Amino acid sequence: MKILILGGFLGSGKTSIIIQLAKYIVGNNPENITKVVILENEIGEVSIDDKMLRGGGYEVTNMFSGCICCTMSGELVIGLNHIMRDFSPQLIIMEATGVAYPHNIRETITQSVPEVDCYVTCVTDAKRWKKLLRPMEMMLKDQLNAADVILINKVDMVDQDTLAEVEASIRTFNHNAKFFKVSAAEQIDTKVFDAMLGNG
Amino acid sequence: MGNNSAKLHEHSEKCDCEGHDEHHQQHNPITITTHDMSIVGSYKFSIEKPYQEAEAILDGLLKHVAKEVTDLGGIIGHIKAFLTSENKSCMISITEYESNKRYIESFHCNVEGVAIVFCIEPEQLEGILIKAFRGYLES
Repeated sequence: MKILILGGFLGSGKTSIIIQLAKYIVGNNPENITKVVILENEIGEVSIDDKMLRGGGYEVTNMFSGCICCTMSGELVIGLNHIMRDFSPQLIIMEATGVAYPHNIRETITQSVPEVDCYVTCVTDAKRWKKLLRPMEMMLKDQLNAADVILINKVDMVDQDTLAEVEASIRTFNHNAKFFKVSAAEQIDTKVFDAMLGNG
Repeated sequence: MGNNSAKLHEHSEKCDCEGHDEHHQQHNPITITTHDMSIVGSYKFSIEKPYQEAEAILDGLLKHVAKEVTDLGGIIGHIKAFLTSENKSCMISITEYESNKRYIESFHCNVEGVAIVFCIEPEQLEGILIKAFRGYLES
């Protein structure tokens, strides 16, 4: 079984990417639905994103009112065990809150469920990167530093010069990750999903 | 997790869960918490209008919240809301063989949302949300 942690700052497009990723995995075969469980984590007292994901055919569970990278790490372990027991999925896609540090989540998982393969993808927002960089620098850095794959999203909303500047800036935080430029508003190349799942 | 939508961790003003650093100010239907650097405002209210009209109203309310936050020097993480409506309902009644249908259009929409912002005080976000949603909180 694999676990994909999808992190990245608020509004970067994580949910939009998950919708496409889940469709890619499930494909047109209804039997594949049981392969994927999406675990949504939201920091607010009400859940929003899971409502967008439900109806796609795949299982969606949620944990809200806290962050699974810190205050809800105990609940995360319990929740993962429930998911594995109830659904036996081949893949759990875990959407972190926009303020979560994915390396903390990976640490919790590898300590408590060492038999699973755990991958981290972080989504960044090309349009807002420069605006967020100064006030949010530490958070952005700590979100990106453990990513295996970094998606620079919303590339359709910036010009080429800005995009080059943004990419160079993001690479200073993590130069080991695989980088892909995407627009979740359009069809994402399947090679991106393969890389996210450790297949590429 | 059993019902796929369980709220696994119920917070309150007296919450004493271990390792928990959130600051609570319970003022239903608006709740303000803090987490790390973020200020999180959660809200629920209803708009007694048809769906299309409610959508336009909510869009305006959220834009107003966004402007107020940025005017105070705050940074928007995201401001989101989910709007739902029953829209049309229908009663089908049969007394002999033919059915009689009566359609009812709903004028009730529910809103659930979250505003996550940075660089302002929790009290400021609370004030912004209360002011913006004042006309709908008690409906």
